[in-house]
Amino acid sequence: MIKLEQLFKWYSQGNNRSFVLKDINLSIEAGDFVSIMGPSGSGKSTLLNVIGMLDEPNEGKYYFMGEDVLAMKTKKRNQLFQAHMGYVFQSYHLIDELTVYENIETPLIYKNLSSADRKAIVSDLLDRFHIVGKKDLFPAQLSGGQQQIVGIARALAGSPKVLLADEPTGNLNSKQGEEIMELFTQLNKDGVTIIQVTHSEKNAAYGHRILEMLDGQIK
Amino acid sequence: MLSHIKSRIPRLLRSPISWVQLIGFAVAIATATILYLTAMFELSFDSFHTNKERIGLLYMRSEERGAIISNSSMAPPLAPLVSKELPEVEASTRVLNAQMMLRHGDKEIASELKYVDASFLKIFSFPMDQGNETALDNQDGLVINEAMAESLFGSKQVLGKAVELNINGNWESRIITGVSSVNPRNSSISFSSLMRFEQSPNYKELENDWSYKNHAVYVKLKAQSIDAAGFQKATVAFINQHEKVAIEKLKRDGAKADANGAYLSLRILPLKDVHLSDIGKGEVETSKFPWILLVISGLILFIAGSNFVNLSLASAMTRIKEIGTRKTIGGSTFQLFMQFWMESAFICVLSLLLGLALASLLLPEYNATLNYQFKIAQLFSSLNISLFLAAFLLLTIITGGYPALRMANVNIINSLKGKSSVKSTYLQNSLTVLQFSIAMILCIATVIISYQLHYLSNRPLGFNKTEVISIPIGQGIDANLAIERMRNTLAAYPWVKSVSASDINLGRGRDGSTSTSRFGFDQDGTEIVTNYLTIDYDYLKTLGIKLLAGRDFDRQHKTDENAVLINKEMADLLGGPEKALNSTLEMDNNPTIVGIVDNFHFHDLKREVGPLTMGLPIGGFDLSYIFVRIHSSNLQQSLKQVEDTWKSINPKASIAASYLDENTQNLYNNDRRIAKIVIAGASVAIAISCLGLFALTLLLINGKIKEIGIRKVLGSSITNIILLLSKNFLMLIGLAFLISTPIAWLLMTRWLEAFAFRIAIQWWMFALAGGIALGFAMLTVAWQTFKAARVNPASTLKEN
Ligand SMILES: Nc1ncnc2c1ncn2[C@@H]1O[C@H](COP(=O)(O)OP(=O)(O)OP(=O)(O)O)[C@@H](O)[C@H]1O
Ligand SMILES: [Mg+2]
Repeated sequence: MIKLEQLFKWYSQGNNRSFVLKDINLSIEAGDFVSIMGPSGSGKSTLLNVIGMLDEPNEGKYYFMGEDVLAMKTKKRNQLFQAHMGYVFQSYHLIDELTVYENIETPLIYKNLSSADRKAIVSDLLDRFHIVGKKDLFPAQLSGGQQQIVGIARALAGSPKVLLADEPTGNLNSKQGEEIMELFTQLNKDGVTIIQVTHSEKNAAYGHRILEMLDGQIK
Repeated sequence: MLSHIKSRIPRLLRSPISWVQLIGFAVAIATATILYLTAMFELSFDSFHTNKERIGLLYMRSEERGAIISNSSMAPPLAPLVSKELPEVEASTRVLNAQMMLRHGDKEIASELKYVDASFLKIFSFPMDQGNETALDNQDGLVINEAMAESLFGSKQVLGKAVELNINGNWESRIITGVSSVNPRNSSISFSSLMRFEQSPNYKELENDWSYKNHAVYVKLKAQSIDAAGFQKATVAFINQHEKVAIEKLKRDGAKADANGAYLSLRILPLKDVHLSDIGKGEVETSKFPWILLVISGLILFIAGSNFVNLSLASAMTRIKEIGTRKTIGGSTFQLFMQFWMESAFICVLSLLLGLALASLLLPEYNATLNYQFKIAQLFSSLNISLFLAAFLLLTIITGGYPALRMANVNIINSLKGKSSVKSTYLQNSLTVLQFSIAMILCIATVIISYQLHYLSNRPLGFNKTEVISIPIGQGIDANLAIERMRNTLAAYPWVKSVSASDINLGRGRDGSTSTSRFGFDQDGTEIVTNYLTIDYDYLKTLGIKLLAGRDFDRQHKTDENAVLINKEMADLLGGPEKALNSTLEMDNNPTIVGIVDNFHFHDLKREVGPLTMGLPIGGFDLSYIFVRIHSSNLQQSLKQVEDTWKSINPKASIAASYLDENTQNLYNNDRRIAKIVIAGASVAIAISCLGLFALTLLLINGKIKEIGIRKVLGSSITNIILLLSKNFLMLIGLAFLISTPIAWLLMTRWLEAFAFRIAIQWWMFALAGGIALGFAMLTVAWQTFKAARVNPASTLKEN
């Protein structure tokens, strides 16, 4: 499903190139659950961003569902990724002015779904994550764990094939973290491919395999 | 504190926001300074007279045929009687405009002469170089100004010296009894020589004539200040006694009495209002021009000031963490306040310097276009400096202090997390709406004023103003002889079509004079008031005026010396063209009406055409302007050739000839001046308002960087984001449009009312002005938001 070949990413600092990703070769099949680990600054977030096309590599090849992503037109690429990827962030990144319901609904609005369809999907997600009672609250009125659940619900609203999560439990206590991991395991069983970055050995163990990163390289 | 500002300066100067602040404010200061100088100059007129509070100009007011008529021309007997019979009046002086040729040796110069009473120099405080206020106590006194003295004698020490005057064609010698300084530029009365009123031509015949009104009368009251209403009441008996005949006529002809029951009243206009008032049409009104300038400059400063606040807030946003840190390490709110205040004071001082520099760069151009003589140095009077200092201090405290207070009060925890956003508030939104309302009002005014001026210059005037040269004859040559010679000489040129003349110019020529002459007479028992024009043969042909009935004056008809032409308006007054043609007018000499011409605009378009009678120069007024109709492909060269011809006939001619097109344009110089200032003001206001919008957009985007990133990740298009971010501004600008439209409509309707011929205000003028403002605003916002929307979300969503 995802295939990276000889991928490089660097930042130019004066005449020097400081490499953040060095010769990454990686292949992830549909239905996989991958955990990425490694010390701070080793390039985990960068790798995840490149996989999600939030960031572009400087060199190398990236195939997503058999297509050469970097050769595509930006518009088409955006459509492809928005249709198939969901993102979960360490600090949730919910929109402060919108309620729980509206936050989950936002990506559906961008997909031009009818309001009836949106309603059906959002209600279903609220149900599934047991947050129906919280639907009219604002992010600031929720605990960190609850906010992350809303974040995951929002990421799943567009029924993505791949879920990218950058330290989804980083701001949560271990109990809340466990709940999120249970949720991921369940989603993975339902067929969603999951790639997560984590610092916790315990949470990493929920994945089928663990990638160790060091200085921009996968060990 | 000082060390703080020192270390901040390089960073301040590197930030684009500081530069926007600096330039926006500097432009506003430059504009406001120039407008302020202009306004203060206009308001300072005649303020150098010691007795300014007690001096006033007299005028008469009546209401005839629905039109209010104010008139400051007085009859010779009035002034002496005013001094003698009115206890309120301490002294009075007549002031009659004239021109006089002065000669000393082989130097001969035309001077601007005022015939005045002896009290003139005592009522006013015109500075004297030599001699004193008694200079005109004797009948043969003569005062000239130092510039005159310098050009005639090459010296200012001319007291007691003899100079020759050209009186009725004869040179007479007079002794100079006083030398005055050149009139201050802010004097509404200007002269280069003064003589006693009793020396004016025909004085003996006119001395007791109440019907011949040709001069102004100024009075000095005994009271310390002028009570205009009181003066009017106090003069009721006086006017009823001396203007009995005029009042009877007014009553008979159905004139209306004023609120006090008077048909004709004598009123006083305080000296300070004389320069800015227009006596003639309607009720005497003092022009708001200087106040308009002050208001515009105030508005521009206000816009710039509120921008400064917005921009300071926007840039402070980016330093929210620094503030949090400073607070955790013990910075007090007061220290933070001082820090912000000093930063904005620093930028304010720079803006002030830059603004003044800009103003002094612009002044020469401004002076040249609008005929002023301002210098930046004039600003450094104690009044101006204290005003400026106060305004400046207030501005820095508000502009620096407000954002400082907002930032200093920010919650520490939130600011450390970088979470707290200083959101655009109700205040900022109101300021934006206000700014744009002001800018749009100025924009709408610009559109309407430009359109009206365009309309005025293109409206048919009833005569053909193209390819006609007008030459002021001036003093020192016999008018009839001059015209005769011009006719003969110019006949040699095939491109000269015809030559004529009249006593009053059309439009405003190079001599700067406009005038009308009116008088009334009784016809079949009612008084008819007509404008009167003395014209020469071929006037209709030269000016392309259409003859409706009868014929033009003809050299073959000897009786034409006692014939007149009238216009359609006059014919209608006399009962229609059929009745009027070939009838006689019951005025002096009972002339016969031999022709009726179509109405043409012998006044500016602020007035309706009005009745007009035209006669040949026999026993009437002298001809003063020559008109030459040409047909040529090189207008510039033709003008020069005509001028050369004129110089050879009248070598002393000092005033340039000009085309009538130019003259008619000159009638609206004042309106054009207002238009220029409003247009400049509108442009500056729009520019600065857009800078303000730039700031607000920046502020908004700073607070929403993350949200933009999230929305992009969730699938939003760039268009969607731009729309989301600019929706609010669109609404604010829409609101500003709604507010500005009715205000502009009201203001402009009032401005247009001054013109008898005016455009109708139409919806597209508002749409155009609104469109311009909206267009610029949208460009500012869209550009900013576009940039923000394009940013890669990976960089804005970075975890910390
Ligand atoms: N815009 C940038 N310019 C220069 N260097 C950058 C930039 N963004 C990231 N880096 C560098 O890239 C490297 C990898 O960063 P990345 O965020 O991927 O690390 P990470 O493994 O996610 O670390 P952490 O566990 O702390 O989140 C870091 O050394 C960082 O300094
Ligand atoms: Mg990271």
